[in-house]
Amino acid sequence: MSERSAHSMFEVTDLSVRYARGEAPVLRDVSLTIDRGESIALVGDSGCGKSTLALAAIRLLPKTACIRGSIVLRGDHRAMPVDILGSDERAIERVRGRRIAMVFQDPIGSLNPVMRIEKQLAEVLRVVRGASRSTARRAALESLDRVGIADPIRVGRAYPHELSGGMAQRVALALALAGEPELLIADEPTSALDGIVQAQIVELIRETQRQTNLSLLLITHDMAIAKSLANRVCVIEANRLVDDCPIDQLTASNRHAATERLIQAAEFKRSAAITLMERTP
Amino acid sequence: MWHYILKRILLTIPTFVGIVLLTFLLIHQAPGSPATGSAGGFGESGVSAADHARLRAQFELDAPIIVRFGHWMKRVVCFDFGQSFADGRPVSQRIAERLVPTLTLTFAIIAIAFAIVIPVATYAATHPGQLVDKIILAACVGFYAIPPYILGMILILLVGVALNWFPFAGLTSDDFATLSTWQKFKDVISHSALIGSCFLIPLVAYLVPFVRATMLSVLKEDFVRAAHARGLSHRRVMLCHVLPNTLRPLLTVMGLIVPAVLGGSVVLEVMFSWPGMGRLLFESIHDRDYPVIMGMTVLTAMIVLGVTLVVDLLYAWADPRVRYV
Repeated sequence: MSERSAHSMFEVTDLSVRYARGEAPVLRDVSLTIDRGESIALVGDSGCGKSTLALAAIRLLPKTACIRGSIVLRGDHRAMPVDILGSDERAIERVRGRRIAMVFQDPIGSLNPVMRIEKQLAEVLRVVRGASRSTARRAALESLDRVGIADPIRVGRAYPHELSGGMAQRVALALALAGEPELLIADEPTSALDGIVQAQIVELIRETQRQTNLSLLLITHDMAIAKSLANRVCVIEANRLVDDCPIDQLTASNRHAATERLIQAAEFKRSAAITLMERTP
Repeated sequence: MWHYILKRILLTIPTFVGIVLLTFLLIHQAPGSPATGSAGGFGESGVSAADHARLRAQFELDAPIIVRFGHWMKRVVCFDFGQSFADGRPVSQRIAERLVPTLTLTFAIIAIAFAIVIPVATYAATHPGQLVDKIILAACVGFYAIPPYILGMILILLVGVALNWFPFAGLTSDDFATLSTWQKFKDVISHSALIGSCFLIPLVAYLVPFVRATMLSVLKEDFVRAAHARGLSHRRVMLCHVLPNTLRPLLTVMGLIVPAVLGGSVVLEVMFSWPGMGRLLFESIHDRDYPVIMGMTVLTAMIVLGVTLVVDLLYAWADPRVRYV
């Protein structure tokens, strides 16, 4: 386990979650910290509780969930620390989108199906950045341009179902980044996309991080994606955090068995892909 | 889109002709005739054979049915529905005087139903499984299970007779002509309160669980969670994201409800002696008043087909994923 750093901007301490009283916990005593500008990958098999951690971090777990522990957003030195689990709903609404943002696995499903893209963007810009009605539309098109959409006007007029998965994930990123957050939580942002688009989205997130001092909490089951984006990897297995190591020490010999397994899985996937490519004439 | 609208309109024509032809054949094959109906029971009330023959000739009852249908169709195309057999007035006039109260009542009921259903269903959907939610659902099942005529009798006996809050017969009081405009308005409202409730209560009881269930499934969707994650207030998420997606399926249901309420309820209108479409239909079937029955059939068919068409088009407008080719 890594020692807690003095300038961490996001701290999860002894977090335990169960979805209903009396049920088995989904997370047990998980602690982790994220530094300013740092990228953490939370890796684990499906069902191990990593998405639960992501939802807890932005307090979107169902109201019936029983949560213990603490989550604190410190942010930069200007802003007051926010107790994510203890604050009232109003305070959390001001944190969401503005200081902590999130993108989801299913990009099309995370957009309102009956609202044009530019209207969804304009709405967020108005609410989060206080843009006026007239400037919001132009700002919406600009933000589409910033996430690498070549034809912002056409995409802005489109409805979510008219977009490809990669395009929709770019839109979802534009929506998440609209409030210039300090921390971006990306819950399997590339799992629903195919290979080349995955690489493009990864590159887009990396590029955004380079331009802004954005911290990243990446949730993934794919060690390859984790390696390409994160500088630290936290491994969850069976609802507990079992490993936490810098990316360059990932190949050291004394890693936890779960970490080894995930690395092997990623390598197997890569070699399978290479074999497939060699076979294809 | 325009192509779809045109195709959709053209498709309603055979449906319309089918409805009208079927009703025409059915009602003319039914036992009894306007000659005996409008002059009392033939044989009992002493309508002479000569009078009977004269009435049959006047109503063209001896011509073959297909000829009669042809004559009738020819007039209908020119919007002439003929005269009522019962009192000789034009059919359009007889229907119009009944259509106005029915139309007004229909749209008032639907507006009130929405005003009740949306907040109640929203509350239930956002507090699922809690006590209030369970009470609301139980009440809906209970009220929906009461047949309208029983509900009508309960309201007449309880609210009309015992409490004497509302009149329960007719549309206006006897001294209606002497009242001021405001009093006339109040008079009509109070006369329609009980029969309106008989339509309203089952409708609300049907819609609340429907809207609640739809909203519950919308609330589970990713985009609602994502909207919260973007920092939108709970109010805004509910109003701008959850509600529009909830009301969309409701459009389809509206397409079924509007014609049902608009057609009037024969039982309720007879029970409350309320002069609407339902009672007119009852009276004209009783009198074998073929022109009025057919006029109402044409009108009702047009309304049903029209509402269905409008609902389909609205659906395409409300849900961009449904754009017809």
